[in-house]
Amino acid sequence: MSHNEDELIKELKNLKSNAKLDPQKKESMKMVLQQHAKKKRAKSKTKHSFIWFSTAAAILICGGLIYTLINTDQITLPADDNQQIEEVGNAGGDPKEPNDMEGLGMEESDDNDEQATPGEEDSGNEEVSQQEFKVDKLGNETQTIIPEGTEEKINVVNFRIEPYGIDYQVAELLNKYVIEENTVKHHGEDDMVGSIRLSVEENETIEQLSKEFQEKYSEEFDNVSEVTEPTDGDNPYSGLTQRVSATPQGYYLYQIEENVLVIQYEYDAGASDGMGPRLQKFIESIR
Amino acid sequence: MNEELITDWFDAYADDVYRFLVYYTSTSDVEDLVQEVFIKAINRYDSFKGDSSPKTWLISIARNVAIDETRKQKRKDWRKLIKTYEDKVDISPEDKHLLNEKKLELHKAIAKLKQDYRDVVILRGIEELSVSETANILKWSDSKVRVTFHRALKVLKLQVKEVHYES
Repeated sequence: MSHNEDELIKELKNLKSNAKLDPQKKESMKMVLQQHAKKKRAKSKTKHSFIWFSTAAAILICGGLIYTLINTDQITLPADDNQQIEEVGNAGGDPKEPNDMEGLGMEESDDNDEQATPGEEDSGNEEVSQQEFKVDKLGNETQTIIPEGTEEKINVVNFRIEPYGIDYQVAELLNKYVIEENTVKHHGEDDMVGSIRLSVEENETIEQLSKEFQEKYSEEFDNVSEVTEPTDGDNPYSGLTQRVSATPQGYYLYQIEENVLVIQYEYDAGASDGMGPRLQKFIESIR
Repeated sequence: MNEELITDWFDAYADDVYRFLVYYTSTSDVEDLVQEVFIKAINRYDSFKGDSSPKTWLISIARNVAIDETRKQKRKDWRKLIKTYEDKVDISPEDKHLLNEKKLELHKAIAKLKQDYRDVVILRGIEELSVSETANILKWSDSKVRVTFHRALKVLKLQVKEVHYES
């Protein structure tokens, strides 16, 4: 560095002033700055709160959506998985169910029947279940009936409706079954023999339900009997029944605790000699 | 940034910022700019990472404020500027006058420098900041600070009357 540069640097250093801000101005500036800092901090706080709440709201909404999605999946999956499947041996069957009980929770659509195609049947899946309503096959045994005054040994199949724990026996003749909604329908190799449908109406009374059934039957059929207590079969439960005279069909309602077991039956008039005692045995087996 | 911190910083560095602004703008009416510098510091505090000292950071803000101000400035009040030195020396009025004239000439020469040179002359030459502090404020490398300062002095020398240095 030349002498001149040193001189210049010295001159520059001499330019360094010790000038200071006026103390009064300094104080007023300080006040302004403190107020500005305070405002800024309040704004920042509000901004952060807004961001925090927005984030929390977004997380809650996402959580809610995910929960709904999962919940929907849980509800949907079993229904998809548990399409109504009939037992083996019913491949040729085309169950034509009486569709006269619509509105009473016992309807069966033709579409549903069509879903029970042979391809969907599973020989090992006799207990077809829905989310809650299901029927377990418990085993076989022999019972005696007396059609036309003559004793006859028949095979019956024990079933249990869950989650209600209602047990009953169905003659082997009707041991094919299909579950549709909350109804189990028992039938034979073909529907010409007849069918029995069972369902459970929760928190209902037989008196209330019988009014609805009576009204429906009166609209549908001409020769309908009075609603009476069942006399053709005995079980521990109080019940009401009504039947149509022209074609053997009708219903039984049994009060089992706070629920009502609804039984609807129908069979061919020509088969009434054999079906009557079997139906009676079925009614008596209800526990 | 809380009120206590800005108060501490203001107490510690307000005069440094003030003087820097005086050198840079060549005027002593920079109180508003000082306040502006500290308001900007409050607003931009989130960007202060603490890598540099608060003083360095404040001076880098002051430099930007001063550059804006210099663009707007039409006239410089040199007489008023020179008054900022008057209480510094205890010499005869004649010598004092001579000294002030020299300083005024130097100030005018600095004001004519291009921005890079002016920056480095004020920070290294007048403020006597270290190379790394200057580099930090100007976002330069240390070597660039050294080289630019050397070049700036050469140019500044030409700007000042030769007679003044020969004598």
